[in-house]
Amino acid sequence: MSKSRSNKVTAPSFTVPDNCAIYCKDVNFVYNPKTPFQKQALNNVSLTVNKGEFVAVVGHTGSGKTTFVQHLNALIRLQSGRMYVLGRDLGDKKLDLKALRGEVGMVFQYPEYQLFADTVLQDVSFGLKNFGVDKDKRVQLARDAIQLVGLDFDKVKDKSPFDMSGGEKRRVALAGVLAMNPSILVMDEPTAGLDPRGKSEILSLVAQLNRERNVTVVMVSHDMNEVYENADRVIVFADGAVAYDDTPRNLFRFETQIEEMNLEVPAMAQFANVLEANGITLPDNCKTVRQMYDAVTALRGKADV
Amino acid sequence: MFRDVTFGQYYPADSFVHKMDARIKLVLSLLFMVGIFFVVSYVGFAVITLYLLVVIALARVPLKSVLKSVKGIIFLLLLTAIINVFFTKGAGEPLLSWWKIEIYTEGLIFASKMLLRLTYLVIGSSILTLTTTPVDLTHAVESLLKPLRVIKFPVHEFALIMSLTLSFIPSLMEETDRIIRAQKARGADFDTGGLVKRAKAFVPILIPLLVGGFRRADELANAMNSRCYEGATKRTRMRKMRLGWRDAVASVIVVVLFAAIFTVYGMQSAWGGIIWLYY
Amino acid sequence: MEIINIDNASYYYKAYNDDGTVGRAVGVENVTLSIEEGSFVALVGHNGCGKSTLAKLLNGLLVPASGKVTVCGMDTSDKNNIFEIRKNVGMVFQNPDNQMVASIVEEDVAFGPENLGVPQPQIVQRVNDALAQVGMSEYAKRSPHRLSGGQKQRIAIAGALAIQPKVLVLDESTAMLDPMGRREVLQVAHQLNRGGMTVILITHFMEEVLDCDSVAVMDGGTVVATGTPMQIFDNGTLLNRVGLRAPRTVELAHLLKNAGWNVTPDCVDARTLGGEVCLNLDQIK
Repeated sequence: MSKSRSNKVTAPSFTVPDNCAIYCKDVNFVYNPKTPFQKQALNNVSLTVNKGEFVAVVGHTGSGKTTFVQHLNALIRLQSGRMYVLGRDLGDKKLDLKALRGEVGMVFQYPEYQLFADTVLQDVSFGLKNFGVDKDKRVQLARDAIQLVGLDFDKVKDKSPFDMSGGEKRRVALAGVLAMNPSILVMDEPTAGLDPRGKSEILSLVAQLNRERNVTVVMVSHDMNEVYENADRVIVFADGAVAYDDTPRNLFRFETQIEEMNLEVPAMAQFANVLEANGITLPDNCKTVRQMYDAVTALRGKADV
Repeated sequence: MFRDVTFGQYYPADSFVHKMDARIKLVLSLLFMVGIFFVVSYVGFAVITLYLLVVIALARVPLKSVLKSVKGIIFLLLLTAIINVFFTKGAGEPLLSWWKIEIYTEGLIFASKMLLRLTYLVIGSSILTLTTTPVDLTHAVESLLKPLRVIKFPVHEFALIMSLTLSFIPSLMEETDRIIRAQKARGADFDTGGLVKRAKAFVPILIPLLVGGFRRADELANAMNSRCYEGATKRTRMRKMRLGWRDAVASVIVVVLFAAIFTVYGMQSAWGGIIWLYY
Repeated sequence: MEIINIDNASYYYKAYNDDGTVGRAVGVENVTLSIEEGSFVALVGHNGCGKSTLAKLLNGLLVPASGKVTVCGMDTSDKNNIFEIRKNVGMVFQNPDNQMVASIVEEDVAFGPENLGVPQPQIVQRVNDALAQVGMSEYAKRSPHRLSGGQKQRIAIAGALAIQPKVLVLDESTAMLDPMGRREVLQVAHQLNRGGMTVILITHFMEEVLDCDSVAVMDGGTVVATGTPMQIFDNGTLLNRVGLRAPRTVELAHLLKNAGWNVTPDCVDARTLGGEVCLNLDQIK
């Protein structure tokens, strides 16, 4: 605590660039400090995320990625280092938590397990109510969010969320966060446990929010194929530190290093790497099967001529 | 933080005390807990202190973890001590007198002895839990309660529920922690407002926990059925509870020690009626 | 030899209609399936397609409303058989935390044999063997709570193995795991299968299906297709209809093959496929 304050004193004039959504400098975090259970979870983490970016955060269990993302809406308070989210100083003792949490939407793992209200509408409005939005406005925002996640508002609003299917519950939970119109969406494995169709529905929704509403997305994921196809940038955590911070294409060229960290190399990256090793360059946007197929077809076209 | 609670606080080691039979440990611990309330004199406390130190040494558990359990309820201990100081009236002049509060020498002595007894009580029980796995403890309880079967007490079910509860506590803690965080992320506020508002604020935590609990129970029932669970009938146990030489040695020593304590202090109190408990 | 026979079995759940009356929801409907002893069978389909209901029919956790399920020659609807059937069909579920009954690994694994009334020295033997088979021997005295998801599921498999079953059903046992955990569980499953165990793998990860002997695809409570993994992957229309997709490499290989490239259509390794594509391009040059 005292450390963050001293940091503030040493850098009072620091201003975060306008287009910067998340700024971290030398962030450290220790669980249970000064006890036998002491554990350094974050080790000098420095990174920035620009507004409108889609960033994937990867790393195996215990790498610090979850601790890091929970800093973003101050569920875990900054111990040392500097951290600014949407211009707010997270080291500030008088930080307005509610305002921050309204702007940084956080979707936890298996968010459907946190549903509690009698009706879908009530559950989706819970956050809005907490942030003091008045009733008419609440219904309107909840309607938007429920429709955004692909559910029929009039059909589901009075239903009990517990009577819905697993995939629908996940979407209701997601709507509960989206209703607040967050500028940053932080998600911890949003597709875990879903079947392929459920996965791609959630991912295309997130991609759409990112693209059309310019929502900054920070997504924790274990599925490297999913990361490869969706993220603009990948941040790899290992032992509490940032091991890599690069575009998916560049990152997954380091096949040995990736596999040493017990992560998988996406199928399309493996494929592209073999082609590159044989002197064939592919455009950078070959991330999905379809894109790769088109690119390879184009290569043959060129070779034919 | 919830997630760091290590329930049951078993400390794995390969010591004399660890190798003892859980039933004997449980009985001897109970004997100890009753016994320390008989101890009155400083010599008696010295003996008990020595006894605890020997047991801790034999158990090869770090003193730190033993003291940690005391730290957990230190507030409660001090509160008891303070109340005792205030409410014990002595025979002579008060040591200190202010407004309606009077502190006597007897009060201080009595309170410090009480504090010592309670501290030793906590230490004694924490040695039991530090050296005995929850599973063994459950088995010991089941085995010691066996006679109650005569009056149709469901001993096996009781022990099973105890064991299932113990094994679920860590994940339940984690689940609670996760739900609290998730609702906080949606702006839930658990720290401000009046009593009613605060009580209401817990609904978004309790309902998911309850729903999760039912789901868990359902899945657990399936898992248990799949593994051929059919109640107590014809069940066997992997863990053989066998009394060894350690149990015999420990039992003899502890029983003799406390028999001595009971005799010495019991005799003293023979003329003092029930008062021995308090002085 | 056939070890499990499902003959036109249906199961319905009680469900409430919108008007409050009691109706029913299809769990599985008219499923007919035969499983060979020693085979490795995958049961795939989207969430809610009935695959977990089918799993519960396999060891009598549920009994079909109509039709018949026979395990090792025993009818699951006969209550007298249930114990014997469950001795033959070990089952591991989805959530690793919700199937642990004890707070020490070896105690948990011992739960099955204890229920069977196995004499004490043999329980110890069974527990040690089971833990060795899943590679978790060194964790015998630990608390399962601090282990990784993959390790927990291996403990759950050991718990099933300790009953010494002929069939192991993995009911979405990999769904909640990270890729490393999934690999661990699958490795164990395949290794057990090589030792003669019949394995039924229920999953929606198509990558996991690649090494199976056969695949049954479920949709709307019924089995809509059966075949080898490659036969199923070839059928793009079917996969699309039931909300599944072939592994990316297989998808790409098929696309290329259909466009006239000289590649192995059943290629499962992206690097091999990449090599084949390079050869193709070299030849054109």
